[in-house]
Amino acid sequence: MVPRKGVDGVGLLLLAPAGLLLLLLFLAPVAFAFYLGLTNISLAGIHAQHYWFTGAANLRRLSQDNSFWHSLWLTAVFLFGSAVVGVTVVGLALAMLMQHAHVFWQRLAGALAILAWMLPPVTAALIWYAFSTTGGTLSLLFGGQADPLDDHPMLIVILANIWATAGFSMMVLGGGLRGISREVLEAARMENASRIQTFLFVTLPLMRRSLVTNLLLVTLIILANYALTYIMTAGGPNDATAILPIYAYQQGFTFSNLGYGALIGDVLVLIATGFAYLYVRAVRQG
Amino acid sequence: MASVSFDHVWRRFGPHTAVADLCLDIADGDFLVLLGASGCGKTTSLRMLAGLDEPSEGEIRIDGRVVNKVPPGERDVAMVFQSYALFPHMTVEGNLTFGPRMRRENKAATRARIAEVAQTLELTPLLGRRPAELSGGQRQRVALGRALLREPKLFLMDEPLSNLDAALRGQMRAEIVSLHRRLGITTAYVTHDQVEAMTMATRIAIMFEGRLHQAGKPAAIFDDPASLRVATFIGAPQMNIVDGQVLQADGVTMLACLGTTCRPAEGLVLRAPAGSPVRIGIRPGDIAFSPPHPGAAGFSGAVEFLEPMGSETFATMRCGRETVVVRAPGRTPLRLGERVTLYLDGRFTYAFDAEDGRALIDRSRFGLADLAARRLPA
Repeated sequence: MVPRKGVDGVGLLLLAPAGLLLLLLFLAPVAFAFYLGLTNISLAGIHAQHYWFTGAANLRRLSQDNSFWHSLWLTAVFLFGSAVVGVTVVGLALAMLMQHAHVFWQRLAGALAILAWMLPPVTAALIWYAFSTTGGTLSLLFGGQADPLDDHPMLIVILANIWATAGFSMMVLGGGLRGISREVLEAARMENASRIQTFLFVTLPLMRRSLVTNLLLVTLIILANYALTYIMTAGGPNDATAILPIYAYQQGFTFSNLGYGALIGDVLVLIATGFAYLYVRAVRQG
Repeated sequence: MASVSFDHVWRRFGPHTAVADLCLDIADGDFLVLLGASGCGKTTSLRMLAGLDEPSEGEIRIDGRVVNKVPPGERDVAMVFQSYALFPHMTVEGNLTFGPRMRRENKAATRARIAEVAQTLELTPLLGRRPAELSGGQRQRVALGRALLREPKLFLMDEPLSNLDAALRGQMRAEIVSLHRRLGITTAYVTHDQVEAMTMATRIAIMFEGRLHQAGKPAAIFDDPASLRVATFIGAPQMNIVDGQVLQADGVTMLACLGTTCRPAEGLVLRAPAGSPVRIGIRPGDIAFSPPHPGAAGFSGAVEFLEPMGSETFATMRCGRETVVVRAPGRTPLRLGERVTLYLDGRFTYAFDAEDGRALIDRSRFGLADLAARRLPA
């Protein structure tokens, strides 16, 4: 059947319940959050009940807030480190290793990787906290006195995020690798391509779509999973890991500036929407 | 230009034996077709020759040099894969230049070669396209072109025509054969299609369940099958197989089946004692509607089923307990239920051991043309 174009009454009626729920539970709260971002609402005090629209006041404050720009920079570093470098590279490496493994090890490694991904952020955070703080395994490796979490907080937090998300990445990229015909790789071998050449000129180009899809998905997942970072460092030490979600939380719930916190959250929504848009476009292509 | 030799080659995958004790020589300039049903080990044998797989035991030699451990790129062989295995993200030109680029060949020389190969295979207008924009036949040509470009000493082809439609397959068959004639490059070609084997090969090697059963010229395989399995595998429709017996009367050995007897042609030796039960094979085209010589004994059959193919008709005849398929002319007067007398031809009646299926008549001493021309015993 050829799908008909245009609006059709019955179709709209059937879509109505889902549309209504989306509107009530998703679009309305987001719109409300954007509104709150432009008010002086606070968690406690006089503006908790009686708040009003303050126009561009919050925006002006945001543009002059050094902590915000620093946090934006930290977010970029954090996402680049964990999603681009970490999860993509580690995930691809794992997926390629898995290809050559015996089915038993493939299944086992796959199950473990998924488990790491499924762990509640609290658990993962505690594991990594214990691992990287003074007296932890990592610290003991360096003599026991060191406190890697305190010395290199961003690095450790990125590693923890990679650890928690690489398994997901491995599954997605493994699917992409399986999509490459064995004969195509063998054809490259017959044509004298070395392993590295085959990887660079055949595997990577053929993986382009999987890689882009995976990168965008993982970015969104990591952005949403800020609890892992918050539990480990609460943004510290000295705001060294205060990425945007944490900064928004601090402004709203620690400093009671709910309106301002909401505005920072809105920035995050816009960033995530940008990634989501790129993701949808990448998936639609070919 | 190369000769190949498989010397007691085995390939095992865990408990499964894919290729068992393969001994096979491919002479320089041969077009060898490895023929067999799927899973018979033909593709595994080809892959070992390509270097994509390694024998568990035995040696493979190209031009006398053992290549078991030589990587595929260094064997100077080119392969055409069943799926064509074109690089989907590259244009036709990119696909053709890939190999030379990897081998760091002279760019100008490569360009000239590509122009030449593209010309030969009529690819010139397609050079800028990607595989997804090509038809099956065009992809096939690109795959061939990629192999040709290499000027290998050995061509390997793994069911290259199986993804094409019937008309195109016929055309590509002819093209590959003429290419082989022109270039004279030794070729190993895997297929399960006996028509491809019969029409393209200079030699055929038939494999069943990992074992080589017979190797020889196409006509020799057809006319002198070494076993019941080979006999029934080659030829369409299949060779008729009926129960029979070896008879001896007045010092003459005869074969009895279908209620009649026939005498192997003069000089053919039947390697079975009198009285022993045998399986007798007759190709549908070797059963005659008129006596091959005066006084020949015939047998009677009733037409049970007719398959008109246009230029010929295959008639299924009931002859007592047995059923045989007979080839009749296209415009046959045969009617369903009709009873006719049929005759066997002693030159082309085959006998196989009832137990192990090995051929019991030794025909190898005769050239086949010679065999067809031999006078029949009176």
